[in-house]
Amino acid sequence: MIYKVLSSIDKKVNFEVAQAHCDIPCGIYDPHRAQLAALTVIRMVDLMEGLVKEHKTDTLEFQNSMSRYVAVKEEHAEICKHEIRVIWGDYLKANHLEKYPQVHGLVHKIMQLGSKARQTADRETAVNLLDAVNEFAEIFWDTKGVKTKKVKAPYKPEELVVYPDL
Amino acid sequence: MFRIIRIAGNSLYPKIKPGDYVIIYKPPWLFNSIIRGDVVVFNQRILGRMIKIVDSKNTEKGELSVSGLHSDSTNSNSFGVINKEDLIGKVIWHIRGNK
Repeated sequence: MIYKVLSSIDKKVNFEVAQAHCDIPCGIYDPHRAQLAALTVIRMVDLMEGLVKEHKTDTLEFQNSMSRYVAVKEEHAEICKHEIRVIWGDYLKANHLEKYPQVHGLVHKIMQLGSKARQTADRETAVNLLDAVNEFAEIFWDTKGVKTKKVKAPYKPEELVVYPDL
Repeated sequence: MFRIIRIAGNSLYPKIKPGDYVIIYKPPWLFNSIIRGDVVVFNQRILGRMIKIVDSKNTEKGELSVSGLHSDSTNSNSFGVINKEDLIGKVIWHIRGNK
């Protein structure tokens, strides 16, 4: 009961969060979720562009579909940023940062692109976000000594994604 | 003086699970009142706002050593001791989620 009340209030006011870092699932890091989220952002922009071209914009159906696409784009741009922040903050250690001194700049670039992808419906921005996340994924897998390959995602938007070559 | 905090992460699992809420309290005498085993919320310079269990207190230096409930949790061995100025509060009430 109290939990439900707090949870409802939380959804509106967004309580502060305290991190209980690095625990049972610790050691399980993978940039794949960030890559999927970046792909989703591109896909949503494509769907939004398609909707504008193919449908009247003053219908309830248009408004409903557009709202859903925007909401999903927002959510996944944020998921992308979150996933990268976790790997950057929790997984990467001092020795990694010495070996890949570009990481801080790259993560900052991803944060900026993620925000821009939320603020705009610009496909180029969304693709740039994926490219930056792919670059981060290459570094991540290199820290584990795992080679990577860049292949086209077998689903729309069919953009290039870095996968571990296991 | 009182704050509501939502928990993320599993460091204190199963005592406190991700998604649970805690009410924390920060009176002026907070540091003096803390004893081993208390659950505290604090600001860590690099990792941000965190919640951990107090392992030990150095009253002279005004420092706490903290840890989680798992061997692979981050703790004071990895990020250092917590200065009393960085304390945000002590957990006085834990509201569990439904999980």
